[in-house]
Amino acid sequence: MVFSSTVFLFFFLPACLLLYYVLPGKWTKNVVLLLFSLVFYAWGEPIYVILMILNILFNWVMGLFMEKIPGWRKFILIVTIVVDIGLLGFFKYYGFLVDVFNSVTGLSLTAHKLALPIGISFYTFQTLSYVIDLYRGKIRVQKNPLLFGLFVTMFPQLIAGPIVRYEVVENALTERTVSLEGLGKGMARFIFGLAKKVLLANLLGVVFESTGVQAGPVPVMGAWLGLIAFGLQLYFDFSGYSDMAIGLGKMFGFDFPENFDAPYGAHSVTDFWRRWHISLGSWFREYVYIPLGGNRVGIVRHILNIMIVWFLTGFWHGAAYNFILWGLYYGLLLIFEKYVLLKWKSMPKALGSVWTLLAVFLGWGLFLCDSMQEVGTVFMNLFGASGSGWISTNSVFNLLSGIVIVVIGALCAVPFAKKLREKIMTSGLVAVIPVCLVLLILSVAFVVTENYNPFLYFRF
Amino acid sequence: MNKEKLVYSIFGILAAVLLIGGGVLHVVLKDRTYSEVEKRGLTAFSDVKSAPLADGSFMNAAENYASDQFPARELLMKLRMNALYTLGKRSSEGVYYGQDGRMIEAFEPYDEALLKENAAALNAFYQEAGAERFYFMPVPTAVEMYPELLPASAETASESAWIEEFTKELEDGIEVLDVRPLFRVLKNAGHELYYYTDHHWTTEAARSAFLYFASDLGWKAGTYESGVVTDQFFGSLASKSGFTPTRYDSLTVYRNLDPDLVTLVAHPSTGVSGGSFYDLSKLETSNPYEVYLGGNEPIITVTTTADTERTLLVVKDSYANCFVPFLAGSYKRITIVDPRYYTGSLSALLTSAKSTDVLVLYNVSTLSTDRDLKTMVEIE
Repeated sequence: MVFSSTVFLFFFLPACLLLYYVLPGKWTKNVVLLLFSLVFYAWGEPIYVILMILNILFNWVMGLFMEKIPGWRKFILIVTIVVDIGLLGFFKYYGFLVDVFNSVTGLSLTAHKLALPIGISFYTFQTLSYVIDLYRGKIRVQKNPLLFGLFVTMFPQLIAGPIVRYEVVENALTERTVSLEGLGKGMARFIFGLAKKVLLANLLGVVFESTGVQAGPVPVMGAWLGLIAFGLQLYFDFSGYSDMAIGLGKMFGFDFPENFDAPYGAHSVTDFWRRWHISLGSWFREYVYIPLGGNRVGIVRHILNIMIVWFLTGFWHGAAYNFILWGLYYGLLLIFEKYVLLKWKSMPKALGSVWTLLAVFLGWGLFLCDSMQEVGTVFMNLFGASGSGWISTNSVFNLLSGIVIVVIGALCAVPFAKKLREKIMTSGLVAVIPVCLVLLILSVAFVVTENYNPFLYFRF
Repeated sequence: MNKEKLVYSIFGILAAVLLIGGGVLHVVLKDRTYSEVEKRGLTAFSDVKSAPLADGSFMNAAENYASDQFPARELLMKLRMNALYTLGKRSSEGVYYGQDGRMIEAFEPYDEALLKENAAALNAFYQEAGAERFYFMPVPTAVEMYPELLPASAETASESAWIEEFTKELEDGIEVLDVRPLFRVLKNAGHELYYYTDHHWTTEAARSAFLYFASDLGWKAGTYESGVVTDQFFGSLASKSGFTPTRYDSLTVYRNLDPDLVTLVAHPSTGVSGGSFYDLSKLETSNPYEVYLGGNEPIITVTTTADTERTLLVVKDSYANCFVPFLAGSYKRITIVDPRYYTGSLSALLTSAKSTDVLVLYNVSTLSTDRDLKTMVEIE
């Protein structure tokens, strides 16, 4: 199920809220939330929901074993990690790995293409955070399978994050405040996210698709229009979804961590990655970078650590060469910044912002493709090497059709827009109600009348 | 209670009530079966109940049902379209929204190979028919005659180029009836040649085309009175694009005033026959344009008391539906065939409806992608 659908907005969520708020007792609330979350997941994966449930039971049991048999803790941890990653690898990377194996050895093994269970990249990382933090002693074991299940499957963050580590919700599972004020704040945040997704992201996606920048030769102007539209679409799509997740969490009394912090206002690439998909960056930092030694090692090892983390980050986004390349690209940029660029202490912020935007948007040129061939097409188009010239009537038509939403998108992406939203939500209270109502009605108009509504980060 | 808590508590309840209310309203209001605006059947609850769960089709049906039966759906569609229009959207599903609210269907770059195949089929038809007169009338659509009304920088292929290339392939015995010079004159004189919300030419345009060729081809001009049968027509392009029309179109029919001319129009596929070319009951349906000839059928046969031995075979698309009535006074029998619905062979047709004259009438947009005409010619 998706948040931006008629069934979710007018049937699933109302029913869930009604039962949650009306039925007394905190255990009933947890049961309601768990049941609704399973239905939410099963709606999109009627078969693979069983896989997820088994995965949850497995991790829960392993947590119990770790508690009961302390001498075997390391062994249990390793087994759990291997199984969890193995499952993820199997469903997500098997096809790709077979292709790589074939191209290296010259054989042609066939790979059965399995459909990727929705959200597996997200919930696997969440269960891993539990077992690893349990091993480290940072959290207490969760003996109740329902509570553990709730932690993993909670529908606000199940499908597309933020990646909520167990330590964040450990206490909230049993002790949290549920109030009308929380409901209202959650609703407001949810509506902002819905509007970002449905009004901005989807329309920007239309502009991006109209340019066809990865499909064939396109004039330079059309290519840059497409790239910019994509970068804005991706931001509003993903940050909108995170807003909705955080808003929904709040409605049920949970405080999820922020996942985006006006990333296009960053003044360095390093800064960008502290503001974009924050929960993923911090997961990799916590469970890969720091265990590898982080930056408390010699230069060579430090650089290696960075490249490993960024290889994995790219690979997490997709089982394809262009995503790996995208990750490594950032690894190199971050190393460059760390050891060269950021040594220049008095670099003007504006220059930093321009540098960052250029680096990030060129990076999207790698990210938006499905294959390395498309990457070639995109970059030839961007730099005028595809023989289509600078401009064409068709690209002018696309520009005219898309310029308004692109400008609106750009205005909404600057840090000032975020500050404005926060200001409305805290001190300009009177404006909250009409602004949110207008956004809600407009969003509903788009949701109800458009049946096709893809969310970009789904198959992760 | 401080202000922040109060405002958000109120808002929380308000928003929840809206969402709950939407769901309740949805359930309580009776389901509709058909959408006039979208011109399609709407998902029914029974479609949802019967769909299997395991492959996700239940979920898809439920989502479609929830959206299709949402209260005030049409109002929300209008809201969405107006918002999109404000943002600069001028094209939807291949239809441009031009100046004055005129909807114009784009002409896609055409398939050269298909053009040659269709020309060859037409030539074969001409040879096999052995008719005394063989006419071909390719009618351009609005995109060709009103390019200046398209939104800025809209680019489409050229129907004129298609006409030139196609007619070049035709045998000399085929008489090409080119309406373009006439249309340019009529356009400059301010006549409405096309509808604002539909892809057809107006009946006035059809009548003018008829009169333009009548004297040269020996057709009787006849005296007609015209009448508007509906002034609240919005047509194919409005439905296809989803753009909100800013004005309705009017549909006009022409009645022959010659007291000696009696016409019998027979529809073998429906078993109906009558004295009129027009089926006024269609005005109440989702496709009022079917008032002309009752719509598209495989074969329609017209017999008249016209004082002539000439007979006519018309092979056509829907553009001919408003044109054929003007030919009643010039032929004793007219057989109207639509290759998109007629599944027989051309030979069979030429035997059962051997005619002195043949008229092939298509609009260029349709003919450039049509495969049914050549299929009909190629069947043994």
